[in-house]
Amino acid sequence: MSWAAHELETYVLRKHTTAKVSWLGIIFGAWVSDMFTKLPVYGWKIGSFSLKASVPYKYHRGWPGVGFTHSLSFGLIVASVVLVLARNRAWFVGIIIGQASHVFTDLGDSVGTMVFFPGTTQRYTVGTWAYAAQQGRYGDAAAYYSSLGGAWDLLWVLIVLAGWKVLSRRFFLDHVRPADPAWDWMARRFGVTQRGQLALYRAFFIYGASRALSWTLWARLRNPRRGQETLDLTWGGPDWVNKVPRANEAWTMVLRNTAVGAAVFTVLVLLAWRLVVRRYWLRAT
Amino acid sequence: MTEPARPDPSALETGGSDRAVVRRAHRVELAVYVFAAASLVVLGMFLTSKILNWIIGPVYVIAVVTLVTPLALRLAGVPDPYRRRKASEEPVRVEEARP
Repeated sequence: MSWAAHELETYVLRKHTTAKVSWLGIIFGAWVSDMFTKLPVYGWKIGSFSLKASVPYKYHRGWPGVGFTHSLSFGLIVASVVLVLARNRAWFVGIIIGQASHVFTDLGDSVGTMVFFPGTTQRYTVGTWAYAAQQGRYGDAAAYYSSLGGAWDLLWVLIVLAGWKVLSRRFFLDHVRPADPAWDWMARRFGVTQRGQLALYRAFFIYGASRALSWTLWARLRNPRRGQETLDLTWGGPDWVNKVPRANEAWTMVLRNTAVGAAVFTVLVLLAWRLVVRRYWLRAT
Repeated sequence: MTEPARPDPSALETGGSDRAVVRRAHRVELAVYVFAAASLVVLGMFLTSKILNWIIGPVYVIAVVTLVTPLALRLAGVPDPYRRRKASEEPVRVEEARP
């Protein structure tokens, strides 16, 4: 999993998307996969009530489990529901882009994602950093920000800063706000001023960058186990964590699963277009 | 404390001399963003997930920017070009005044 890249990527995606697309839709799409499913991964306790997945990675990325939220089909379903309810094309496109970015970004850890679910439960991964959610929130933070995962987050901070104009007032007023009626609705319904709207737009960059930097500093300076949990920028690291290893599967099996999964996904897209999306797309603005 | 002089709306619309005022206001606002980021990093090191979570983190940034910026502008003696106006006042079209 990525800790801050999901938010940071939204600015780059918005900047380089020429179609009319909602940035709010992109950020919602980038979060929707984890929005309602993440709490049991680390565990959650209020009084005597506790909620924790017995095997976090199977729950989070597998089937049975909520791993379907990290598939392209899930993005299509969520975007279609929003299209039906909001009748807005920019949100539909934004959610699809944002959710797909989440699915592909999470290929970076050692567990990966079921990109073509439900056609296949094959998980795809490049295994750049260790999936260590089973170590709890702090163990995962220490592992992630001691590995290439943290470097990945910091790379996205630099990419956004290199194209800093995407954070400018001009870009917001010329490109972000006109593409999405939600900003005007916020102003009318809640009296959100231009400063407030701009703050909302920029907040996710500030939050993502600060989160990456803050957890990195925590891992290096305040982590009680920092003596053992050292920086390890090797592929698939850090070595000191009890990570979920990459599945060792035959390439022929992976190719077969991919062919089936991609075919089923294509059929789903065509069905969704014919049965739901086309009708509401034509009525939408 | 007396209310700082407000920029002339017509000058803002035509990009007149009050452009400098808007530019100063933007600089103050930028400083507030830097403060929000720095304070979030420092607080995050100690409070960790209590403040660095998906809800509190962005809300903290928005709250700091929207609440501290007007105060910072007053302290700096710069008129706030985005202050919400009464219906009777002529709206300031700040968008056209961007450099």
